[in-house]
Amino acid sequence: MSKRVLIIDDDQIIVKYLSVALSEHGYEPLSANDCSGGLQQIEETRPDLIVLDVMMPGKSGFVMIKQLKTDDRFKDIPVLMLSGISGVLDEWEGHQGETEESPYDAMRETLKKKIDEMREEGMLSPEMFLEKPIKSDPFISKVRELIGS
Amino acid sequence: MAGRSKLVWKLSAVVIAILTVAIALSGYLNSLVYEHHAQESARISLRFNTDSINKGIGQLMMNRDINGIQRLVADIARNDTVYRDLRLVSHLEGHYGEVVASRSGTSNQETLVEEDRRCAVCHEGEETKGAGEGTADTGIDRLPEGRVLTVMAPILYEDRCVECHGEVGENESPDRAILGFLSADYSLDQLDVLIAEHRAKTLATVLASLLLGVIALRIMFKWLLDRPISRLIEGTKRIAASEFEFRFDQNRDDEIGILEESFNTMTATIQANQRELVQAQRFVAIGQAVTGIQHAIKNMLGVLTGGAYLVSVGAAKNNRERIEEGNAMVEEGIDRITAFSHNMLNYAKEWKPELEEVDLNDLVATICESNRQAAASRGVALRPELPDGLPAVVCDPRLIHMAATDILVNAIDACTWKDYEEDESPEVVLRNALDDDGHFFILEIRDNGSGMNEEVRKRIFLPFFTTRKAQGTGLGLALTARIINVHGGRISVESEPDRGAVFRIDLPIRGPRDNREVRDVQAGSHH
Repeated sequence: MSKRVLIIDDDQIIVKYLSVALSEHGYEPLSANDCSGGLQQIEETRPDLIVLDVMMPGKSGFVMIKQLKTDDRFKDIPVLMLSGISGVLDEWEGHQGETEESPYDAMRETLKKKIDEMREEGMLSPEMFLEKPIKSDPFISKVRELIGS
Repeated sequence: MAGRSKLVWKLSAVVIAILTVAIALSGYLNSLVYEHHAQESARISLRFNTDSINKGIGQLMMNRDINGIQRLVADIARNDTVYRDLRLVSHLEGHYGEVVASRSGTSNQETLVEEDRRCAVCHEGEETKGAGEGTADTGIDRLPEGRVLTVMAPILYEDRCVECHGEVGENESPDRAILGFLSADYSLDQLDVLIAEHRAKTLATVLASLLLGVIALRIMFKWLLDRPISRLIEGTKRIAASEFEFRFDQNRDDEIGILEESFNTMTATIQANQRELVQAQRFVAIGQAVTGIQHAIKNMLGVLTGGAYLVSVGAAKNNRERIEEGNAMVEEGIDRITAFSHNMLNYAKEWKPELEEVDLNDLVATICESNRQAAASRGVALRPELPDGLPAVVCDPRLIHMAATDILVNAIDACTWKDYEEDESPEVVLRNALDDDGHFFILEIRDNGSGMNEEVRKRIFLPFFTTRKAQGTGLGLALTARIINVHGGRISVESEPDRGAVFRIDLPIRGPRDNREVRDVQAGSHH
């Protein structure tokens, strides 16, 4: 049976794109447009992997992760986070981020802090992140890395 | 205190005080000196006058003409404006103080007693003065009728007197050296009149000098200090109000001129720094914009990438549906890029409001009506709260319509992103009000949707900032903020995650002071 991958993103296009990529590689794609829709799906179908966008209107992806990781039923489901803000992982990957002043840069700092916090609590790890723009090949490799084929 | 220099007034007060004291003092001293001299002159000449009369009397005495003496004295004494009193008094033993001749002509049996003030002229206490020297002595008394100079001119024993009056013995008291004396009381009225006139003139001169002095002082201070200081203050106020092009005219060579020069240098530096700062801010803004644009481009790139991928998969697997889906995605991507480009241009152009008096209750009501259906179809209720009696506002109705609609649409969207509890239902309230001072009109749009965390709330008005990828270029609220800015108003937002948001617009009722945009390089006004 194909492994089920749930994609949660408010952008329909991304959802479509990743869904097609997943089906092409033998996964069963599921999707939701927001966190509550996503939760519903998780409860109903229990996916093998959750792909989650960090920045969404309403609840952000982090809030969702916290919810999942503190719920015994779901805390073991692997999560892949799609980040639209570049450079979040730079420290982990040993790169030097470029310091431009932009609202996103300040958010990057906050994100890093949040990530650190959640890392402390064992909720996150670097392999859980993928930066946009998403290309199908790196995406599928990542999925494979996390849950196999 | 407009137009008045406290410093100059203090200075003036001090100088005027000193001037007053100096002038008054000199006037007073002048008066004193004059009076003294006038009096002394009078004393001297009246003494001389009395001596002269004595000589006449002496001559008549040699002629044993007592009647003649009495007539002479009476004659002279008749001039009662000068002579208050005139009498020839005996100083002979046994006849001390007897009046021999007086105004009334004959001896009138009057006798002076020792306590009489006239005796005091020579007989002061224990001392007796002047007897042997033959000089008349004087005293000044103030009598009810006026001031009087009393001259006591003694008639001294001479050799020629022995024939009738006998010898003065060697051991006799010095009193005996005097046969008698002429006692003259001269009226000092005329002198006093002169003195009074002099005093009046002095006073008038003092006052006139003071007045002239004060006027001259004021004019001088005004010219030398008041005006330049006022100009200095005006100039610095303008600089303080950020008018950095202002320069002082450099046409003084005194300390104020130096001050003005320094200010000019300082202002030029500030101006240059200001330009640099504005430049730097522009660069920062451009940097931010570039990052924001890059962000949006990444998003649109994602769409095109997705479309291309689907097309290639479809082509490889001969799956027509895939190809069509992919193509649709590519077109969507093109649409997004087109819309983005359009929005950018729209945002970047200059927005000059066409002002008119607008009833904002009408405007908000219209917006509610236009959006009611769409909102309802997404489960969101719109509730306008538009009280009566609010004044019209000078603004551009089209622009305000655009701004308010943008906020409303966001609010409706926010409601669709939240999971509502049983007791709450999605609602957007549009409330109009007047602020406490009556200068600003308040438009408030409150929703109970998903709200924003502080990170997002802080940045919500910045251009290209958005939490949404599919719709929204991040320019909507930035443009709204610019529109409000151009109207001289303020926009702000309060929000907490899951507790909705309140957008508040303050518009000046009388419209913007000028149509320039407030010099704020970033689009946001006050956050």
